[in-house]
Amino acid sequence: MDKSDFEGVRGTSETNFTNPDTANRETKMSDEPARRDRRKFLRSASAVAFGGVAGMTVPFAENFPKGLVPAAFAEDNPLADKDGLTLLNDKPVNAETPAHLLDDAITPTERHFIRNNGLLPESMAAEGWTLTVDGFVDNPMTLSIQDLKDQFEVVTAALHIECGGNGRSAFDPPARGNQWTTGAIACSEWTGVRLKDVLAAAGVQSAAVYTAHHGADIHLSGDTEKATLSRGLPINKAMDEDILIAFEMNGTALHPMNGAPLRLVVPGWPGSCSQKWLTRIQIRDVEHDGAKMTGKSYRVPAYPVAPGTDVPDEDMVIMEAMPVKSLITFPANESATGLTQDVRGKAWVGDATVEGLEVSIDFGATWQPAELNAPVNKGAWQTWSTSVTFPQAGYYEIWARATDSNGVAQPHAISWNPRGYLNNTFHRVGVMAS
Amino acid sequence: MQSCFGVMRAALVYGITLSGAAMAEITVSDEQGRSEVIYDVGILHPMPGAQITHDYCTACHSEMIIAQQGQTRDGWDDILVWMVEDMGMNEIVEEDRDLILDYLATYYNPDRPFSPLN
Repeated sequence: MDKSDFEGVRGTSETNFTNPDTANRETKMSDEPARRDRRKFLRSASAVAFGGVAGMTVPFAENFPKGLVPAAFAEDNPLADKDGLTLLNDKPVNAETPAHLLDDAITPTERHFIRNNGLLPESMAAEGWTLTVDGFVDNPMTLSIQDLKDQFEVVTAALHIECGGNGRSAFDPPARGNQWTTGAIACSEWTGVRLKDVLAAAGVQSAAVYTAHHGADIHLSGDTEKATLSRGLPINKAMDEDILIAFEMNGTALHPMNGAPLRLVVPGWPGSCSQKWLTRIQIRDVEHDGAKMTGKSYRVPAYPVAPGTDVPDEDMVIMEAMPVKSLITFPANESATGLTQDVRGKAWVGDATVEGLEVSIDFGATWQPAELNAPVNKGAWQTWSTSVTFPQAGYYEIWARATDSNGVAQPHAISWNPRGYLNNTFHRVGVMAS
Repeated sequence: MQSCFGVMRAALVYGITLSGAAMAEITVSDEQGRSEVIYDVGILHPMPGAQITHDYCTACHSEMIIAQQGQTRDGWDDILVWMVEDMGMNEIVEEDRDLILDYLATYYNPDRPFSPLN
C-alpha cells in the first residue's frame, strides 16, 4: 500500500463514518475533536509504517506485514484493505461480497466477507497471543502461536466459510439481523494446525460432549464480563480433519476483521463456529451454552413452520452442517450478453460434496448440466462452468441449482424460520441478451 | 429506491460538511402533525422519533443495523426487551420507549419502506 492508496483509505473513512458511537448530542460535541486527532495520529502512524510520510517513528515498521492495516486504524475505516464489499453495518462491522466479485477459485483476503458480533480486540498482535485448551482434558495447555507451529503439523487448505444467516434478506416476513443477500460466503486458503491434533495432545476425556470457543473481541456494551459470541461443536465434529486453528490467510497474517492473529476455521458449518480472535477452547461435558448458542440464535425450528410463526425457544434446535448451495459469479447480474454466454460459479455444502450443478435460462422449466470440478481439498467449495445459448434477443434469468452427495438439491422456495437462517434457494442472475 | 439512497447520501454529505462544527438542527413533521427538531440521525429516516431512537440505540451500535430491519411493533418490542435483558442496555424510560417503538414500527415495519437494501 503506498501513500496514494492510503489517502484513498482516509477518504473512505471520513465519508463512511458518521460517529455511530455517540449516545447523545453532548457526547458528540465533546468527542468530535478527539476523534479527529486520533485519526490524524493514526494516519501519520500508518503512513510511516508503509514508508510514506515522515513525522512519526514506528520502530518495528520493517516487520509490519505488507498490505496489513494497523489494528488501531482498522475500526475507524471498516472496509480498510477490503475491495468492493457492501457495508451492511459499521458497528459492529458487517460487510458482504457481491456475487460477481467471488469469481476467483480462492477468495482474496480483500474480498472475504466480514461478520463481527462485537468490537475488535484492543490488541491483535501475534506476539504474546496465547491459546488455552482446558476443561475436560488430561493436559490443559496454554500455547503461543509459535508453540502451535512448533508442536503440530502445519497445513494449508482452501476452506469455505458461510455465515448461517447468508440470504436472510429474502425472508418474508423479515427476520431480524443483518440482511445478508448472497455474499456472506468465501473460500480462502488458510494455514494453521488441525484442531483434532491439538485436542489429541490435550487428551480429551471420555466425558467430553462439546467444545466451547472463546474470542477476544469486545461486547458492544463495553461490559468485559459479557462475551460477544461463544459457540462450539459436538466433540465428534471437532475431530474432523479439515478444521483448522489458523494463523495465516492466503499466505499472510489474518486480516484484523477476519480474526487476526488466530481463529478457528470450520468449513461447512455456520460461520459462527469459526471463532475469530481465538483465545480459548474449553472442552465441556455438556452442550455448550455460551453467547448465541441458546434461545433462537443459530437455531431453527425442530419441525416445519408457516412463515411468521412464533416458535417457542424449547422447540429450536442447533444448526449443524450448512445446506447445499451455489452462486453464479459470471456474468454479473444486469449484464448485457451475446446470444451465447459463458457462465461460471461456485457450489458448496457442509459435511458432503456437491455432485451435480445445473443451470436454467427459462425460469426453471428446463435445466442443463454444467461442468463441476471436485473440491481442491476437503472443505473447499467447488468451481463450475458451462455455456448457455439464448434462442433470441431479450431478458433472461440464469438460475443455478446444485445437488449434493446425499441427493439433496437446492429448493426454489425458502424454508422460513424465525431468525432467517439457511436460505439456500437458487441464485438468479438477470441478463439482457442481444 | 432512489429516495432511500438519496437520504443516505444526504446524511453522509451532511456528516462531512458539518463534521466538528455545530450540527445543524432541522425541524421535521409527520402526517399526524407531530414536529420534532433533529440534529443527527445518521441514515435513519428523518421523521419525529428518529432523534431519540438514534440517541438511545447508537450508544452501543450503529443505526445501520436498525435501518435494515422490518419488524412489527411486537417484533421491535421483543428486540428492546432483548437489548435490556441480555445485551447490557440500561432500562428505557417508559415514555421514551413508546416514542422509540412508535418510530420503529412506523418506518421500519415488515414492508421495509426505508430499507437501505431497496
